Amino acid sequence: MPNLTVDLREGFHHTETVIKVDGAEVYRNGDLSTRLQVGLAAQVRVTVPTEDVELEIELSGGAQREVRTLSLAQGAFVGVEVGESGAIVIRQSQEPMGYV
Amino acid sequence: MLEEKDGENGGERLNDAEGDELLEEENELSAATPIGVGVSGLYEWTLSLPRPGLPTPPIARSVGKGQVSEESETSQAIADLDAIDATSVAFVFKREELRLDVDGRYPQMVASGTLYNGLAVRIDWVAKLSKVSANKWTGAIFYKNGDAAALPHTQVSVKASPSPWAESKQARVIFTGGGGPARSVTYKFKSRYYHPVQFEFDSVVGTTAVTSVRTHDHPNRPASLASESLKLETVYSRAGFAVAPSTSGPVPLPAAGADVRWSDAEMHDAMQVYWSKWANKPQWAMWVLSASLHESGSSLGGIMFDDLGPNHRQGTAVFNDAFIANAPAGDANPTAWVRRMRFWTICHEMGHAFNLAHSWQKSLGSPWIPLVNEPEARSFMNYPYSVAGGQAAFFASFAYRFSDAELLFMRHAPAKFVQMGNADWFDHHGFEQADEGDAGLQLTTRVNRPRAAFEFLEPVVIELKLKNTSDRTVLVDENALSGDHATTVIIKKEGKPARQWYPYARRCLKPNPVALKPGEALYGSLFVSAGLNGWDLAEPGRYAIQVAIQHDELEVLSPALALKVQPPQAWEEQRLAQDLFSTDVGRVMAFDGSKHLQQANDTLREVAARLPGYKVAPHALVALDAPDLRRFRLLGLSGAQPGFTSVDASEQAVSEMEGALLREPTAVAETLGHIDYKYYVDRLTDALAERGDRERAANGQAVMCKALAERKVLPEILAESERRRNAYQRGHKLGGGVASASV
Repeated sequence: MPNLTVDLREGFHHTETVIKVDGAEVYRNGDLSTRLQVGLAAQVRVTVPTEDVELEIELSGGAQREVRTLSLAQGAFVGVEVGESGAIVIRQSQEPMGYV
Repeated sequence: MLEEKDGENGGERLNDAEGDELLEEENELSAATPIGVGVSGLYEWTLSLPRPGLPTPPIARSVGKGQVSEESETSQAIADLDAIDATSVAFVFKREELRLDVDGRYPQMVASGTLYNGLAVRIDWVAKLSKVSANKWTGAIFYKNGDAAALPHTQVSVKASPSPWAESKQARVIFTGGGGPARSVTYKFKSRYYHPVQFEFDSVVGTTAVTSVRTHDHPNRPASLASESLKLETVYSRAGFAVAPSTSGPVPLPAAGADVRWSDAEMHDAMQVYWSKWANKPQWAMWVLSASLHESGSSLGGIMFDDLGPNHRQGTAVFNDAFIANAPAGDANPTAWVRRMRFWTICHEMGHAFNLAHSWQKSLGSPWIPLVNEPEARSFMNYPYSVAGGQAAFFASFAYRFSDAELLFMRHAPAKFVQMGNADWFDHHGFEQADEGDAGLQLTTRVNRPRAAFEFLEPVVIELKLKNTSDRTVLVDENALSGDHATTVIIKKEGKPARQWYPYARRCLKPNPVALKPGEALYGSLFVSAGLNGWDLAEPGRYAIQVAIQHDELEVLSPALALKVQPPQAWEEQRLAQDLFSTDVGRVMAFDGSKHLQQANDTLREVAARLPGYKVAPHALVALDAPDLRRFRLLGLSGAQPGFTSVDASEQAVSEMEGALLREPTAVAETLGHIDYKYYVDRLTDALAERGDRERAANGQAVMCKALAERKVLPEILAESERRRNAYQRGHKLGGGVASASV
């Protein structure tokens, strides 16, 4: 079965964060913060049943939510950031994302 | 070293006309100044204090606008002296730095400076410069950090005097604007680098550190990029640092644990074990570890891992076998790409140790000045694959440098923001700018008890010992340990920012040099529980206290003294604490009593009555009774005729103090400290002798002497007590004051 890697990157500051894949909760952290020296808060790896999945990111108890339908054929690596306005930005990549 | 003849704030004070005249004169001279010799770098000015025995230079008066007429000279002189308030007298800067950044590699067209008054007062400033003529620049000060009142000026005019010889280079800065008199300071060249820094590069067994790169090995590069074998230390020397690289040897793999991948905690432990410069203090030094992989896997190519413990940013790591080892598919020279990427990663992580954020994060948090994000910057601090066009576009225009904003920070921000291991002023360590040098003196602090633990309400008195550890006689000021201007005390509660202790009063004392032969020491004591900050040691918890003494132009630092304040044992302590920890009570205890602050006296009386077996009780009784040992003068300002009234000594106070000091002498000596205990007993016994009660006086000294002998006090102190006792018994008069413990 394919694997999906979700990188929670910039913009998390003591943020309550929930990840759901196809409606099932796969990750929850009530106090997530970006480690600024690498620009990464957490990395979540999920084994998914098919290559087409629905990814949902929910922040701060639902105050912000973003749902995206992904085809893993276009990239099994997803980066999630919280912009300065609070908007959730999701990027998909064929290659694993690197941090330094 | 340039000596200034006079001047309050480290330079000449100029009136507006004099300042304008000087600026015009500089303009005329600069047209003839030869060009071609770099002037950027670090300059310094220090104030040479007069040797003991020589007359002290007069404090320059703050000259107002215009000239002083002869007729009004006297009245003007008086007015000028009036203009010097306590604030301006206090700001006598003893050392100043100037960082001039106008030529050389990546000039920022900036001047910055730091003004020091020992360790107590300090200000950093930064000015943007525009060139006026050859070797002359002017500009506005856009940043200050510290006590801005100490440097009110808003403009600088800089005139550099280049020379092929470092000892001949100097720069003169005229500070103007801000409503204060202009000031002029001439600095001597010290270094073409702004700060020193040490890098230690260590590798895990089986890993090779990439500490250099040949800039032309990979074809994707700027056309203008010079061909060189570029070293890590060169990158940072071009950023303005005098780099001293080193290595201490390979780091064994078992330090990483069974999985041979490194966690942050494992790297932090390894840093403490294998870094030869490891110290729990801010220092211009960092450790750089090359390893294979982080425990999180191949997605982490490197990390500034040191955000653990009290001193951050001292350690960084690069993981050679992470994603940075994978050149892009089809790359023209994969080997060169990988080497360049590893080199870049090390520089990047080291940049974090200098407190640089990623290029896209500049505006986050609380930057030192307003910053904008630089998502397209061709800097070590940007991710090559994050820019438009990806890593290929990045390296096509990357010149192995930091951005101008990053260089401005590294070179000119207050050192505490940049220096590794540093944080806020004395966050676990203070005195980050102490110039310890080699004074031949050792300063220690102690509390003369088996465990440095204090009861909840017990005031903390620390004892200082300044010992001559050299092989020659050293002259020190007799009052060096008195807590006045030459002494700085930092108190740090665990988990809280450090605070400087400010006594309720500082005396201006004429220097009185005493000779300390090799091995001899000067002793002193400080009541550090309370001061102008309030009661710094009121709360239960763990504390660290560190003291610095100014000696000539050097600072002598003590090791940090760790102590603990116990939690209250009884409700009564908590109730009394609300009144005890007040400003007035602090003052009464610090000044050994008051006949005026009656509310504070009432509190002390209640404390002594309700907590007789507690260690705070003798402190309270001493403060209550000391004023009544002798006739006490009170100044009355009400009524038609202000004047002094005298209050006679009180037998009750004498008896009470006798009981407080002599009933349980060993315990009281421990809580008051040996020096203060002897001081109070001497005052008591002198008072008894003056009243004719020589037997009680002699007995008091005998009791004290026995207690101090049991506590292993120096024989000289015991001998002095014996002499005093004999003098009482014979009815002889004594010399005034407490015997010095310096001989």
